[in-house]
Amino acid sequence: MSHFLDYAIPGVPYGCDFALMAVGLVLTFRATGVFNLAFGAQAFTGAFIFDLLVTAHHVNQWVAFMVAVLVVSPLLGLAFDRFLFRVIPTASTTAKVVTALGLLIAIPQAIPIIFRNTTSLQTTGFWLDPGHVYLNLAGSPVNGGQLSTTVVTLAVAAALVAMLRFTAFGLEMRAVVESRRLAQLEGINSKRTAAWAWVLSSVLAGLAGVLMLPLSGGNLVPSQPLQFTTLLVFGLTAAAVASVRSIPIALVAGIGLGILQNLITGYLPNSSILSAQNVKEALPFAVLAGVLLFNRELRTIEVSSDPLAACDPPPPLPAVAIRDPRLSVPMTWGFRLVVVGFLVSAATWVPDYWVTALASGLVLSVIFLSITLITGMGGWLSLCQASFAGLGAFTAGELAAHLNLPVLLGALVGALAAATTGAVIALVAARLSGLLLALFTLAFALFADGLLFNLSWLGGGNTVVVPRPQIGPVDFSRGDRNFLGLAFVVLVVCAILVKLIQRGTTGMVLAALRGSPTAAASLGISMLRQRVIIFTLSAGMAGLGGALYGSLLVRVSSLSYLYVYSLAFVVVVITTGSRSVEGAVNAGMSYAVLLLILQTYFPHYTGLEPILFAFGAMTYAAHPEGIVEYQKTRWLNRVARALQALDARRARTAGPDPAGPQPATVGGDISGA
Amino acid sequence: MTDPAAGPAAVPILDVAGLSASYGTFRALFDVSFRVPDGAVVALLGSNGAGKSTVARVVSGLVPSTAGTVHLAGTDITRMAANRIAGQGLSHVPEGRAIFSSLTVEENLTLAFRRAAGRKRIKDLLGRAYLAFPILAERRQQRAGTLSGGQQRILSLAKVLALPPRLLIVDELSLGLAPVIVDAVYDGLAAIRDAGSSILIVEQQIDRALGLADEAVLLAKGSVAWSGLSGEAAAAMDAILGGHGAVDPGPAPTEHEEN
Amino acid sequence: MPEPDGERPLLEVRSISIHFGGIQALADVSFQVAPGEAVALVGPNGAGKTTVFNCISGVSRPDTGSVRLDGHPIDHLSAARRARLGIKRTFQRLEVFPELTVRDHFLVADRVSRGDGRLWRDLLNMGRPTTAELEAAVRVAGVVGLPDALDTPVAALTLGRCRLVELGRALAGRPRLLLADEPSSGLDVTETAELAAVLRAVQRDEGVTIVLVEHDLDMVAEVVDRAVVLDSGHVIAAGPLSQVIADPVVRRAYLGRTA
Repeated sequence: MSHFLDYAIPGVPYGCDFALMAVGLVLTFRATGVFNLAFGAQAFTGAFIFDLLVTAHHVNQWVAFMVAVLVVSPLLGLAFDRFLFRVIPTASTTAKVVTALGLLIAIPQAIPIIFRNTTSLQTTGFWLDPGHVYLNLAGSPVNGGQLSTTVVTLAVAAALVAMLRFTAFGLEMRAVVESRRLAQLEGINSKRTAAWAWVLSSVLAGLAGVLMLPLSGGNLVPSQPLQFTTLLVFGLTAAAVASVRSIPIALVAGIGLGILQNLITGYLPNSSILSAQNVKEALPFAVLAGVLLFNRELRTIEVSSDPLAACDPPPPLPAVAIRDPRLSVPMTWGFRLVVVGFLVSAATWVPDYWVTALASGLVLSVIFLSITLITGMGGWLSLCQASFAGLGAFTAGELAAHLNLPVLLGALVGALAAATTGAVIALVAARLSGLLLALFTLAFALFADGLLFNLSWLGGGNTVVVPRPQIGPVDFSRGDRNFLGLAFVVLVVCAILVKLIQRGTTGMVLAALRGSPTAAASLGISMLRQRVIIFTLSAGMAGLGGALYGSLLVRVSSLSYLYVYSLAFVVVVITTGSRSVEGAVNAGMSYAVLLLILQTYFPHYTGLEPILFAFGAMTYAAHPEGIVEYQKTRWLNRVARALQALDARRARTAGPDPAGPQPATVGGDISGA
Repeated sequence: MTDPAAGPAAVPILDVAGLSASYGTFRALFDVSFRVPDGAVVALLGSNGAGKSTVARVVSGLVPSTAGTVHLAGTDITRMAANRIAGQGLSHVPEGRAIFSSLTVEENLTLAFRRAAGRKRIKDLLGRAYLAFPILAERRQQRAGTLSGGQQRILSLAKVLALPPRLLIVDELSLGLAPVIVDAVYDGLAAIRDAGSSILIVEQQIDRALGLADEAVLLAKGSVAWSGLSGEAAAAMDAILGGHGAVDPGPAPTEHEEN
Repeated sequence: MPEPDGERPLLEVRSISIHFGGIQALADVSFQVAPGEAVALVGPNGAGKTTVFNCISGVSRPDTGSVRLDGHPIDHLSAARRARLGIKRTFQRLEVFPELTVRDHFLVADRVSRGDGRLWRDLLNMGRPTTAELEAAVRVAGVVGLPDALDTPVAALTLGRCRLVELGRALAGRPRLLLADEPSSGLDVTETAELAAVLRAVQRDEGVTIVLVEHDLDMVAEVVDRAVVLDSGHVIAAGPLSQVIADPVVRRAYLGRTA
């Protein structure tokens, strides 16, 4: 028993930190309908500002605490509300998640650049000295860091619960949480109350960030904001346990997770697959997946409890492209010219370091096409595409190392393994939709990072060599120009596959499912079947792309396929355009090229490229088709209108035949092959 | 009963002029105009989908209008936010669940009385509401969501009765209630009217509504089909809506045979 | 195919009951529909008509009771499986596929109903519509009166035409039983009359069995011969339309009038 307490008690402060995140998530989601994944970023910001003020500017820590937690954090939350989420009130929960995802990735990268400070967070504590043991609880020492975290959390939580329960403001807040509209009929300014919910939850996020500092013992690095994402993942797991509904349950669940995490460290052996480290890493996955699958109450979270929800207008539809058929010939030839120009250039005059970037762009495009399949065509947000890619790469590498399998064959086996995994995920998560499915894929990504990629037959967490292929006389390890050709061929094959699916019955069926799942079912379309098909294909394609990526880099480790890459990939593709093959290729090429430009010309600003894309993701709710696609549509429509105006003028001068205001050539989108 | 003493020159409590509204591409209202005289009870009638609830929602600010104006006692409230309209003395009891089910009965009432300011006043108002509906006093600490449908309706009326608004809009108050409870609900409405509120009743149960109303407005397909004194409404309804068979069968179907 | 004996009803609803939360939405509802018949399901707002549709099409599961098609219980089947047995429906709140053209709506319904559309066919570029399929789509467009709109994305159509697209989509899927849920909602008088003519043609010329939920009694009279009346989840009358409408119980429930 005392052994149990030895491990349980040090877990409590961690749990308190998770609990703060969880409570904040519940509060924002209920009051505003936003599942705010950007909390990780807000926690990071709070911690960073606090640390900056204390260590670099030697500000009194209480003042620093005030500024970081009570000024900067709420301002950030208010800015999110005012400039992002309030603009898109009718967007789907998924669209809001994508917006939050953009913030989650962009902010931790942007903040250190803004403040020109990239040193690690050094502050060791806030309030009580972490180096000093203040008391012994059941025989285990409690230091100042642990004590201050626990005390502050419990005090804040008690104050929050009391405020919600006993004050007039709390009453208003609870009314708004249940129904924004009904509350307005009672004379309550729902928008202002929602803004206050943002302020409160942002304070909690900032607080969680600052309180994380003493627990980590001064090991947090701004360029590795991963720790804060882990904090977020534990927080959202605890929120899920509470069905994103009950603040007290979220609090208890958070603390429980902290204790559980520490108990694992104490009770599991340090060797074998089930080593404490592995299991601890995979714990959020296990709990999150379990909660998502078995907490039935969670399934209705996207169903509004507001009896007046029908007052909201339907979300806007993406613009429809009117493509004048006369454009198809010049566009087809223009496209071919670009492709030929690209290949000739890459084979001849382009410098070597550019060839590598272009090749990696092509390979990334293959992975990105898998997102086109799953998110663009299927409409499902998958946050584990990088894990599928890793699965492909490690399978190919291990097969080459141990069975001497040719790497291209290994890549296919890897793709098959990833595809099978994708099918299993789709089947297991059959009953989950939208947001929950996205979180489930995130859980899988965590599982892959924490456990799967640490298995000895999948790299064991070490560097894996994925050799360059050799086909007959062509050796792809000699220079990247050859490899670029190979990548190009693979990309073309994958692009044609996606195009065929898009144009065929499956494409229509998926468009139907995206448009209205209810009506699709009324025609006899099985959602589960389509989901299994698309998850399988998409995971397979990601696996193939991942193996190819491994072969390009030759040496890869599980760090190359971390779940943050999954998040970044989704954001990049959605920003450029997830609905079309062109969008994925644009995303792949521009990502690689941008990376090279930034590395060459702005070597001090690493991590700038995700910022650019992540800010783009914030436009997702307004333009779900992606920026590139949106601009293309606008351009096409403008040209079509100009051509029509020309026709109309010609018709008027030619004869009395009235040209209708509606174009006779609407649609006709079967253009250049 | 009410004294329709308000002269023709008096400002109507509600003046709706040329109102149109839509949900996305769905056009729900076309050029709707009618008035509620001060102190009067007006019934807004029509079949399902005629746009009655939309009129109520546009007036109370829940749904934006696309054209037209709404005046509350001479004040233009067309573009006002719902919470500000509520502050002007309009109370809207929407269709279906119109209470906060996660709050207790007492919290629901407190929320409604909060604007009347002063803790003492709230106590006083709570006492008045409990006196009028003793069933609510018995369940004051119970979550409102656990009340029966009829009790929920009574709770939403209790809020209004203790603190009568200038204009009350009730939407389908009798929907899904047993006849005895509908009687109780309409008794409550009469009491609110006697306390000085004007009322706009949106209702499908025509007999009930016309029993209380001074005037009636009949909506069909999002437009006003008829309006006048409530005594004449029944005959007008038969002519416009309820004929089924006795009425002109509409456009001859033969015109569409070639389809 | 209908059974040769012709006696057996195509659809049989056997005493289904369902409740949501504490509210009994349907209580012991039973009725039958013979092959080739057109039946209306009428009743006031909230009577449970759409819930009956949801139970037949598999969107909701009744707590007790059973739904039979051709005498076989279909209670264990998913909505998609029931659709493939020939139960097709339209929706009260419009449910179209905004990214697809009218032609694609018809094509996808047709292919899914035939179980065609395997992935390998797409991958071998055999997914393009055949001449026969294109002709079928043109024919459906002719029946519902949308021959000029085949290449238009539905996002560019008016609500009235979208309702026709929904109807055409249901027809393209070769229905044996068509459930039409308030097809006239949001349409003007002319559009309603056109829709009624289309429904009648579908039943008489194409031999499709129709169950119609509709408030517009003129339209109901145009399309059906028999009606089932629901009130508060109970069947209160069933029989030939003229008889049912003359029934004082029905008049009271439906119009809220004792007349």
